[in-house]
Amino acid sequence: MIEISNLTFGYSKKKLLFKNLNLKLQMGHIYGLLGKNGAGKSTLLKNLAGLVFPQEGLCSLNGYNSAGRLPGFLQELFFIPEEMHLPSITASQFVRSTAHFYPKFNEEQYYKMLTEFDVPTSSVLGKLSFGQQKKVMIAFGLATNTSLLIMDEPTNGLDIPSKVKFRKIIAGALTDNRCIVISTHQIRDLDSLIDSLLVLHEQEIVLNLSLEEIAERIQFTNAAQANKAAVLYEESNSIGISTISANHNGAFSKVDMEMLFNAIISGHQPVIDILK
Amino acid sequence: MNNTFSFRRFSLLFSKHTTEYYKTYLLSVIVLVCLLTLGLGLICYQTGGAIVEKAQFATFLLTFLGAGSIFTSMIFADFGDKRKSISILTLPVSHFEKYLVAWLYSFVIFQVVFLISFYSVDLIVLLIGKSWRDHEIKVLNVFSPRGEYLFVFLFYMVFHSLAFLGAIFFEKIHFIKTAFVVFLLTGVIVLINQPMVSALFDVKLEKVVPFVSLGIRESDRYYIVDPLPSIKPVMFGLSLTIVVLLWVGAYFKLKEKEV
Repeated sequence: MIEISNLTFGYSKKKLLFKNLNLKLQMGHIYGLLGKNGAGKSTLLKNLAGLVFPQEGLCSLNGYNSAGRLPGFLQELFFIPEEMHLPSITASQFVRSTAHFYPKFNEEQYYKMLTEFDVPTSSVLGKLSFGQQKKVMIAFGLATNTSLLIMDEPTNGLDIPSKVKFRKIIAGALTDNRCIVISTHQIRDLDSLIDSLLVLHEQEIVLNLSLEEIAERIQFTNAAQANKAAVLYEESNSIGISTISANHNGAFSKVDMEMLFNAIISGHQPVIDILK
Repeated sequence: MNNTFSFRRFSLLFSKHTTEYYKTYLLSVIVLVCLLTLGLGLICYQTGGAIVEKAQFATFLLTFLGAGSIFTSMIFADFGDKRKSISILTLPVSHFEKYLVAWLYSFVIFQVVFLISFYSVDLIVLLIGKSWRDHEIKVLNVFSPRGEYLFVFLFYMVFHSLAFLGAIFFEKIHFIKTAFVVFLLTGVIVLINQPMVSALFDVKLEKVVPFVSLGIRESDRYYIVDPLPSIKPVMFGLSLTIVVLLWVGAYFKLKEKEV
């Protein structure tokens, strides 16, 4: 299990990004981490990976404190940053030099994913395009089979066909012993991929629920279908007015993540309260 | 699982580092050989084919300390690049193993490679000089039994430890920043030393060199006060302690590195 307890962090002591933040992530889930620009999504992921140290509190994975960066912790974590560096060696050489550090690394899975992504294994990684490099890192990260896989803006730099493949590959790589956290500002890229939603807003996690739980509590409909008395938030778009309303009758609707996110960050307290 | 040191993990890291950086290191060795050839070749040409032992040693000393300090200053350069430092810091090896690979390359391997490069170039240049004008050649022996050149290795240790700490402490332009701090500290020591010695000796001081000697003028006579030979082991021990402290400091700085 991944746990963040009373995390307080800021790049300067005067301006804190998080204050006493608490969060528990379970294995067997793909979490989508959403937040406004500057909300601290990448910083939260860095705290989880032990790349920055909290002022107070701790992040732990399987009992290891992330700030210690011990090998036992690191071999259960793989972090794919938004911008990465790959050495001037081929994808095959990279596996030979780096895969040994991850006890559960699956070489067959790695090459299969590279093939699916159309990445040549004989090209020098440092000379590949940004998108191709990202695909190599995603394939490598998934093949490590670590308990926690963190991806910061993984779809940046991927073309449309690659994004489709990315969703397919990620969905196929999830197991009961693994937790995947994806941070993105392109909410549509997470459609049909994540099963739980995390929203980081104003120093705290205001939402940590599975899509199923969200759908049980609120309903996403257009204005005509909505029960006016139960409407919590409404938003006009090109096809009319969409609403979020309390789900009193147990009806199922697909979670509109973008609308939910807009409702939360624009401070619609009734929406936040019903999801708490 | 040993989370501090595992020989298997260390050897895998060493092998990974070598695979990823051998081209850069080979290029650095070629540059070093070119520099040595240029230096020794110029001396050989100017002295008519003969290079005396002192000239060989001067070249050895300057290139050994200069190249060693520059190379060591760059050993942690990847930590200054956000993209590279993420992949290094999240690699499943201990801080000590990461530290040891950098230390081995900059301290042990550099010295071995330097000695091989220097003696290869020195011997070739001396042989060319001999073929030009036939005279007896004398190759510098830094390990001579009299031990008069061994101090250079202590100097290297001190330079290495300073550059090593600077390499992990600073994010960019490590060598320049480290050199600046060292010069600043040296200046402070010299400035503090002068009034301290003046307060201790009620005489006219001519020359005060910190940790080395003292020149006193009294009437028309000039005295040089040197430390007693018995103090040498203390000075040596003190230097080693400083070196070890700087190395330990570099380890803790690496441990607390953030992105």
